[in-house]
Amino acid sequence: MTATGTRRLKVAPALPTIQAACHGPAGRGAGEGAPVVALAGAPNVGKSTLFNALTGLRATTGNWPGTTVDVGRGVWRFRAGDRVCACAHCEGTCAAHQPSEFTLVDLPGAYSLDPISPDEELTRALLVDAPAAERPDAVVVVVDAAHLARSLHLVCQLRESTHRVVVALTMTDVARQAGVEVDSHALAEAVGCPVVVVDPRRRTGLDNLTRFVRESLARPRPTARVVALASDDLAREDERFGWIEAAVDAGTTTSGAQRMSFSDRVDRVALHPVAGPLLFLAVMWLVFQITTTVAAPLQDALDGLFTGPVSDAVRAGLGLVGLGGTWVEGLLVDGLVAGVGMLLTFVPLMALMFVLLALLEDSGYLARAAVVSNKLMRSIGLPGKAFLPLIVGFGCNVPAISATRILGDARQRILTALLVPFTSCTARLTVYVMVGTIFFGRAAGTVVFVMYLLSILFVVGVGLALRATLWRTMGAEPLVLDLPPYQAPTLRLTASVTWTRLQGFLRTASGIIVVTVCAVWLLQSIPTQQGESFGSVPVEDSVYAAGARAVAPVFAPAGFDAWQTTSALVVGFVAKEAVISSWAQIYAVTEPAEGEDPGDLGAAIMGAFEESSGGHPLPAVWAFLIFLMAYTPCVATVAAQHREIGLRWTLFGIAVQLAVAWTAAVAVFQIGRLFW
Amino acid sequence: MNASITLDRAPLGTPLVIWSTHPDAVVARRLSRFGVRRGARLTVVQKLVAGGRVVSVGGGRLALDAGVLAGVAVAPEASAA
Repeated sequence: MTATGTRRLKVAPALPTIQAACHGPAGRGAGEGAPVVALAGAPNVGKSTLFNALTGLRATTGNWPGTTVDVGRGVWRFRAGDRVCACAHCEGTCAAHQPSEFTLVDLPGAYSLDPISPDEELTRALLVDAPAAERPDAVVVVVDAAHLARSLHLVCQLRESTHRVVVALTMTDVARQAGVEVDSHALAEAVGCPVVVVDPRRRTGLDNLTRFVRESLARPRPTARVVALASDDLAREDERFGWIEAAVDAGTTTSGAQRMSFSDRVDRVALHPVAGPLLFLAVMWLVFQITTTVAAPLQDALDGLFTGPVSDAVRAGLGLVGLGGTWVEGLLVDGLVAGVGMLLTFVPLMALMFVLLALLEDSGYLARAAVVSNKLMRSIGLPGKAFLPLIVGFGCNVPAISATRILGDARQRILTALLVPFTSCTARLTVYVMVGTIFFGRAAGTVVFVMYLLSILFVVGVGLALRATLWRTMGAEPLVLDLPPYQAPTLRLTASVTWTRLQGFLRTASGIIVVTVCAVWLLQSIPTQQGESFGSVPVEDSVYAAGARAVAPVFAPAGFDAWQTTSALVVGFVAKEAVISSWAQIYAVTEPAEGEDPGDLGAAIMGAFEESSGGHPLPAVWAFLIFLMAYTPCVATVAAQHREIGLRWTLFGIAVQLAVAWTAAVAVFQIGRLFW
Repeated sequence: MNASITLDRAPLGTPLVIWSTHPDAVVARRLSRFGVRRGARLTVVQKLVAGGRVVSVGGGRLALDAGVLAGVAVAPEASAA
C-alpha cells in the first residue's frame, strides 16, 4: 500500500456519480479501468480509519459521528498475483484477476439510504440514484459488531439492489467485552454476502478483505434480495427490521446478563447533570494549561534559533555575496526570517493542542461534550450535534464550516456556519499566548482559558440574537445522539490526525503567510515622502503606516488605535497567524524609542498599548484580544463559508463579526478604564 | 391491560418494551435507525441534565432529551409479555 497524499473532493449536489467523484479534475483514483469500490457505513463505525488503512491516506477521523462530510478517494493497492476468479477459461484477463489496484471511494456516513441530511443524500445519490453504469463495482459496508442491528440497515437496503456487497466487520473486541460473540460465517450466510472481520485501527484483516472484494468482483452481480410487497413505507421498514433481526439472531450469541460497561461507569460522571459540565470545563482548562506551559520552553528555544543563528547566517551569507545592508537583507532577515520564524515558534504549541484534541476525539469524549452542551445549544435553536462543528472550530474554522453538513436542516446549517467564526481557533491561540505572556506573565494560561470561555459566550450571545431575530420561526431539533463506547486512543491514529492538522497549519505558513509577509514588507518599503528611497524608508514614513493610520481612528474608542496594532489587525484578516509576523516585521524595522530595548518585541507592543490607551493598557489589551477573537478569522474561512452558505450569508456574517467585535471591544475598554 | 408509561417517567435499570414510538414521523424515523421502534427492548441507564436520559438499546447507548422521551410509550418487559 502506498501513501499518495490526502485528497478530499466536494461533489456538486447536481447529479453526483461515483465516476465524477473518481475522475473529476480535483484529484485521481487508481488507473483507467481499475474497479471502483465504495466504502459505506453508518457514522462512527471506523470507515475513515479503514479508508486510511487501505489507501495510506489521511482522511479526517474521530470517535464521533459525522467525521466524513465529503467524498474521499484514494488508491487501494495490493499484490495481484493470486488467482481469485473462478472463470473456466480465464487467462488472467477477467476484472478480478487483472488489476493490482482499486479506486476506493470513502462515502459520508449513512445509517440508511433514506436520507435525512445532505451527507446521507450524497451517499444515496452515489449508490442508488446514479445510472447503473456509473455506480461502484462493489460496495464495502463497514459494520460495527457492537451495534450490529443498526449497522445492518444499510446492508439490508443495498441487498435489495444488485450491488456486490462485502461486509467489513469492525469493533468485534468491543462486542466481545459486552458479551456479544459474532460468528462471521453464520452472519454471512444470513445476509447473503461475504463478512470479513477487520480492525482498521490495528490494521488487521485487511488482506482478507482484499481477497473477498476481489473474489466478489470476479463473480457476476448478485440478484437482488426478494422483498415481500409492502403496502407502505412503515410495512417495508417492518420487513427490513425483521430481516435484520433474523440476521442478528443467526450471527450472534450473547453470553450472560447485560452488565454495566466501562463506558457506563465513566458516563456516570461525564454525563452527570452537575459533574458533567464541571468536568467539561475542567478538561478544556487542562487542555489550554498543558498547551501553554509545556510549549513555552520549546517556543523560547525556537525563538532563540531564528533571532540568533538563523538571522546571523542569512546576514553572513548575504554579506558574502555583496548584498549586506541592502533591501534584500531587509526582505530576508527582517521580513521572511523574522515573520515566518516567529510563526514557526508556535508549531510546538499547535502540535500539542492538536494532540490533545485528537486524544479527546479518539477516546469518545467529544460525543459526551455534545450531550453536556445540548441544553446550551438548544437555547440558540441548534441541536446538540451542532456542538460538533463548533468544537472542531476551536481547532480550525475551515473544516468546521464543512462539518456543518452533518445538520439536516438548511437553516440550522447556515446559523451554525455563521457562529463557527466566533469559536476561537488555534491561530488566534498563538496571539493570546503572546499577548497574555507580555501583559500577564505567568497568568497567561488563565488569560487563554478566559478567552475560550468568552468565545463560547460570544457563540451563545450571537446565536441568541440571531435566534430572536432572523431565526425566530425555527423550531428546535430534538436530541437523538449515539454515544460511542470509550476507547483507548491509538498512537498511530493520534499521530496521523495531529500531523494532518499540523500540515494544514504549515501550508498556511508557507503560503498565505509568506505572501502576506512579502506584501507587508513591500508596503513598508515604499516611501510616502520625497527624498526617501525604496527599501530604506523608516516604516513610519511608509505607505504601510499611512494606510494603517487612516484606519486607526476607528479603534480609538477601544483604546488600541496605534497604527502598528491596527496594521496587524488588517493583516490578520488574511490569517490570524500573520498578526504576530506583522508585529515582528514592524518592530524589527522601526527605530527603537529612547530607552527601549530594541530587541524586545514585548516591550514595544506594551509601549504601543500604554500610549494608545492613555495610560489604561490592561483594558485596551482585553479589548484588543476580544476584537481579535470576534472579527473575521481568515480568508480561508470566508472561502469555506462562501462554498457552504453562499455569498449573501457570508457577507452578512462578516458584517456581524465586525460589528460585534468592535462593539464588544469598545464596551470592554470604556468600562474597564473606569477601574484600571 | 395497557400498563404503558412515557419514557421520561420510566425508572432506571428496568427492562422495558417500546409500546408506541414518537408521534412525530421525522423523530420516529431517526429513532428507528438506532433501534428505538415499536416492540424493541430498552433500558434507561442514566439521567441527564434538563430531564434527558441515556437509554441502552441494541447494545448501544443513546442520549435523548426530555421532549423525545415524552413521546415514546413503554411498558415493563414483564407486563408487556
